[in-house]
Amino acid sequence: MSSENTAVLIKGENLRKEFQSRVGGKRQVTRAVDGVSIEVYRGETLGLVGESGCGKSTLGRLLLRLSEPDSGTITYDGTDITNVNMHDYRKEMQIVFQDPAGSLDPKMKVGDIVAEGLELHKIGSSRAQRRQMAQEQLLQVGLGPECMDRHPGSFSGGQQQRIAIARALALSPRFLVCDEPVSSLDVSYQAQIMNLLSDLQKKLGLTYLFISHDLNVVRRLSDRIAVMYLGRVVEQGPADQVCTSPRHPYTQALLAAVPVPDPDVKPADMELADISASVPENGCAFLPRCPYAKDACASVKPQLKEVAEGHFCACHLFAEQ
Amino acid sequence: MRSSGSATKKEASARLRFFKNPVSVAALIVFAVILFCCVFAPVVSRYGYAEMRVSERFLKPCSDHIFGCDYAGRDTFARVLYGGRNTLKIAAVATVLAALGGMTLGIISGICGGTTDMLIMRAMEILSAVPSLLLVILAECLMGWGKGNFMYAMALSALPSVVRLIRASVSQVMSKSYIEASRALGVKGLRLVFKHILPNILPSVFVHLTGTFAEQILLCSIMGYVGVGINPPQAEWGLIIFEGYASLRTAPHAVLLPAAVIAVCVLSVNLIGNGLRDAVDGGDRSDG
Amino acid sequence: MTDNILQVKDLTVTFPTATGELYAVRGISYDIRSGETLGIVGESGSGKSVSAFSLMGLLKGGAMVEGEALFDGQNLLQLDQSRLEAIRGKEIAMIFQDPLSSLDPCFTVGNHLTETLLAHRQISKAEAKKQAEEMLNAVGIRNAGRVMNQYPFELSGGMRQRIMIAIALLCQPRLLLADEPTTALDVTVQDQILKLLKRLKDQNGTSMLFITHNFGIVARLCDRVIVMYGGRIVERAMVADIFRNPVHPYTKALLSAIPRMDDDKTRPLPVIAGQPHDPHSPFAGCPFKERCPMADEKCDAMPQETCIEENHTVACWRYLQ
Repeated sequence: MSSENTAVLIKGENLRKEFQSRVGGKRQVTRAVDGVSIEVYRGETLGLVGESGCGKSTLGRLLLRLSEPDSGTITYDGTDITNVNMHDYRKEMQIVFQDPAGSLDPKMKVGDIVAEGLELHKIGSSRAQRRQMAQEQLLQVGLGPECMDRHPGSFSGGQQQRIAIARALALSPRFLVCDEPVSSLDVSYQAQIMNLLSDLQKKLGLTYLFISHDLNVVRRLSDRIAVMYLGRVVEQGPADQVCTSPRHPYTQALLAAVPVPDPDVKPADMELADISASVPENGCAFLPRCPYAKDACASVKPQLKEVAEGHFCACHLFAEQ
Repeated sequence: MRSSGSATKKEASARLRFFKNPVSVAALIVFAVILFCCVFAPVVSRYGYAEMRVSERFLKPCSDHIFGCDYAGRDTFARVLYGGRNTLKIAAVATVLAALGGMTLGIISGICGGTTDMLIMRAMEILSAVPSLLLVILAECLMGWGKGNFMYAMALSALPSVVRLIRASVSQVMSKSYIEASRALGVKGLRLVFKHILPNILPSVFVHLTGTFAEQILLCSIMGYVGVGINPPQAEWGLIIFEGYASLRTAPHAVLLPAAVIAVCVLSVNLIGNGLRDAVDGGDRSDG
Repeated sequence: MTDNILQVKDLTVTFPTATGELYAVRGISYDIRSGETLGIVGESGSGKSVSAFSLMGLLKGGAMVEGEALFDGQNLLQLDQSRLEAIRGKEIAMIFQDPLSSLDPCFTVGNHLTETLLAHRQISKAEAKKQAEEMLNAVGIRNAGRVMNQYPFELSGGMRQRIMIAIALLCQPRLLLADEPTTALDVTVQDQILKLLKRLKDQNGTSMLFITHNFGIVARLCDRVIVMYGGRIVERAMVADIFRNPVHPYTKALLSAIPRMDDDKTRPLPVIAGQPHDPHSPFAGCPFKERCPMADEKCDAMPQETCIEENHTVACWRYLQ
């Protein structure tokens, strides 16, 4: 894939992040991200799918260096940014969070929230000019100038998420991490925000890392999809291929589990075993829940292998191919 | 149809809720009257706090001396007012000092975490393990007797609870995603503290400090009663009670009336605190 | 008449707030037939949860509840607290969105189960323990003996929800009220819980009121469905009919705004423009008027529900002769 290297906007290699916690007096180490390598191409949307605790949000934060990786490197636009001062890169990459109400400072006015980044990075010559720029950003996400002097608490969830998007876009970033931006929104807002995100991408040439647990949402917005399970990417490929012919048993189970809004569709029979605590140290993390487990799964960690063009899967079922 | 500026309305309605609560308003008025009388004691009272008239020893309350006179023939009302000046001033200064120190340490502790947090919190635990009285006596022994040192010692005794509260509020705010969002914009250091953290913790801190102030009034009076802090012939609420205590049987008014003033004052401060808390919490509740 | 397990008539729920009255439920009537699963679908603020909580006397904040809810010939809304408590848990059980907050962290799973049994039944402790273990097995928990001695926080979200379901079903209630019980769970776990609920319902014939915002779950689990908007019922139908022939403009818009696997990605998702109905507004007309593309001056009054086919009614002026 070296020929495509110039097309890569941001790349994480071998990223690892552990968290330590105490459960009932026992020290526990959670490997949130366990050796993940990921590339996001310019102008594309990479969907990152997985269930809670699979490390997808942590991976997004590692790429932005909002959280420091234990090991691994992050390359942005050809430059290694693993150890640099991030201040100049902040305006290149931004993030939109799941919980729109929690991501806006309740004591600040909307105009100040959107203009804060401009002030920090000394964009615009005066306060008046920055306010003007903030107002334009709000207009771009569909909010009028009357919003400028209101507090975020008085807006609905969908509008708050628009404000958060306006704040992220005010610095004209090239890379945007969308961390479950529609998960906490009602269906009618979900559609609005998804349409807004794809319009903005077309208009501004943005690159997205779109994190979500909802495969329907991810498929709609993504060009490629990566599926994570317990800190590792288990499958990665073109969005439609991953959704229509999933290879990894976990991806299959994930797709089968989504309830389809059609009473004629019978739920798939595939049912995973319960999440058990004993994940093999050297084997496949999915082994305890996998209906197709075989001997090799307990002893060897599967690596990502190309199973079709641009479609990778980390599963021993495909080892022979 | 949500009206514009309903968030500012929310803040306004916190104020409104406070003033709509009859108990809070009554408490505020009572405290304001006490404060006014104490601050303007020379105007309000015709007598000085140290003016003695031997003929009027243990005088019962009358129109001239509404609280009566004490064992030395001093007007008790004047002594309560002048004493209130001292007590309230000491309590207020100690509260402000504890607030400033508590903010600094609590914010450092909440933001830095790790070893810094551990050291600060252990220090606070040690401090809170020393009884307030002992702390004040120790501090005065080490630093010398005087009103200034007395106030520092009082502040020190209130410090641990303030630090703990602020640390807890800070770590709660730090876990909100708007802090992460501003870090993603490049906000750090003091700007993070003054723009994002302080405005969000101040309401709850202010409510807590009202309670601290009430505690400090009581503590100061206890100190005065046991003879630490303010020295006679100066007046101080605890000291007045102590001086009257010897003649409690013969002249109960010299103890009971000043004690009632202390009680009413502390109660009103506490009720103001309660009202503030309800008003602030109520705002959060209606916010969802 | 007799085969209705619950009859709700003209239920109105109003909350007093600092900014005026909040009209959560504005006069709704519905029945639950015995053995059926009735779904209530709506977005946040539609009043769907409040309408169920009010039946059980679980509303806080000085809610004013009016109307009638007949269960076994008794009006639940008029019962005193002790009578209601006797019914709650025994005849009518509830499961909630967040199982952790409904479980006491100081008690083991076993304590929770046996306490519930002992409170409603005259049986010995040993017998209660035996029945509790059997119930855990029935909700698909293996090694029930070990789980009995664990505390709620030691269990995963899916396990906790299973425990909640076990507690709810212990006394073989005739009606189960489920308020978004799977919303906080991962899709694969949600899939397991839905299958479990379906199996229990088929085995025991328990009637269920299932509150959700997810049409996929409705399709999987419910027999009949009620669509709520702005505190009112806008449409009710058999599940097959609501998907085949949605009639109310809101139902139509909501169904088309859901991203699906087989969508055309290049076309934007249809959205519902505007903001949700303000629950503070005293407006007595159709709550969807502000957002409805077909609204006219008639909509200033609330339309009656009209039957358009068997078991299918809609409250919209366009269908009212």
